[in-house]
Amino acid sequence: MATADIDLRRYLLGQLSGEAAADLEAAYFDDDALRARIEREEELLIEAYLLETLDASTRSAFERAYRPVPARWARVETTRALLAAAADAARPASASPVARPAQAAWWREAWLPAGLAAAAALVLAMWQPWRVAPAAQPDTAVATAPTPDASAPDASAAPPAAAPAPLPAMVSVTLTAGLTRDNGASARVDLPPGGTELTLVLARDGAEWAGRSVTIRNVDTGAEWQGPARPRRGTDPAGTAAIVEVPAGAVNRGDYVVAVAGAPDARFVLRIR
Amino acid sequence: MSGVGDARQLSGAALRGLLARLDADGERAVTEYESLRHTLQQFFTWRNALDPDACADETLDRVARKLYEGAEVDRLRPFVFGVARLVLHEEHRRVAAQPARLTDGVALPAGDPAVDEDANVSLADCLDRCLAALPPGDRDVVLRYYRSDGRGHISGRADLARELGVTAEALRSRVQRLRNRLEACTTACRQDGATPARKDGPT
Repeated sequence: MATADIDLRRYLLGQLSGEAAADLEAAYFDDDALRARIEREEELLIEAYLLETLDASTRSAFERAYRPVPARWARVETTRALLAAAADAARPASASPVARPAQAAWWREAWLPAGLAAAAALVLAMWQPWRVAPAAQPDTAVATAPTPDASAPDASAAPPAAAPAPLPAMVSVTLTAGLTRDNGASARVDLPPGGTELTLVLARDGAEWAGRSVTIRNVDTGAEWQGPARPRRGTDPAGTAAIVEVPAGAVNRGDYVVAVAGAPDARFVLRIR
Repeated sequence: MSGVGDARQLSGAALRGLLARLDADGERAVTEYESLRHTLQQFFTWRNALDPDACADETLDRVARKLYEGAEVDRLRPFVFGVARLVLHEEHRRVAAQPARLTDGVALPAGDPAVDEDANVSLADCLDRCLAALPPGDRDVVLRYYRSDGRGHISGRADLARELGVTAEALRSRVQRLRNRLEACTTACRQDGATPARKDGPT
């Protein structure tokens, strides 16, 4: 019985049952033409993802299937680069460079699975060297009321004096499953010029991540910073927070994925401006 | 098997036996071997193995050794598939048993080359270099193949195939071979910062 193209796509997305997948694999091991059909389907799937023509459900399934596997994601990145190179080659010599296409396609949905029952709060603390500060707020004073924007400085700080000292400004942003970059609720922080130390407070469910390694990866350059998550001082035993202290200069402007070791479902998207 | 020399002799003899089993004609046997290896690479990639190439090679080594040792195999490809499933199962268990480092949210075994890859040279820069190293005809085919109309569609592949006097599938196969070359080239470029040597001749 011929295999329908839809089943080939479902195989690529990991949506076939184990038995059905094994049957298909046995079939294409014996049939190069069938294998070629799957390769063609994969090619169309990757291109549709990069050209942003997949529906939301399929796009989400694609990212779950491809993003975590280096060999699979390498195909996506190579195709992306080829599309960009082809666009550059096709444009007139006088035209301005074509933006690399679909870099942000995967940003449409944060990589938090639908099964994650509760939102995790990501609190960003900005240490601003040019502001005169009262004593730095203790960790227990971290803002817990979520605000939609990560850029507001602390309005209650004293006016600048001759020797400014770092003033921590705490901003809380709540991420939920299905978050999109464009709905106004993504985690954003404005990085002031000069070195700025960044403290990430992983609230809700964060306590279980204390002691683990956290990776902050630039989506475009692939540059990574890793550091430990430590328990927040004074954390309620029943609660909820771990802190990651990112030294000045470790991250710059750009789009990042924040991930917790050993918790592949715990991912946050962060935009530093 | 008493030493490295014996192991190499076994491996060479086993490989010759596998090729002979694939086809009596030497050239067709090599083509069939490459097709089988490609199928294995795809299988391991689609089943999320961390190193599909190594898994494919391990599978073929085991198959060759089994044949050399006299295993009776009625149909070779289903036999290869069975060995591949076992190798995949072992690979998943091996990965699950190792301490993990985290990169990009994926736990990878310590020392995995993907984790240690130097990303200082961007993919785009490396791709530009690798495309430049392709023969001009191949480079043109690849760039025309991926030309988008800017409205979310890639068109013109049927026209390109007609122009080249090949079927759409033959064009896709040719581009896939070129992609494989480009992927290997860009991987080396990003790891070593090396500029690929120009190669001439058709693919």
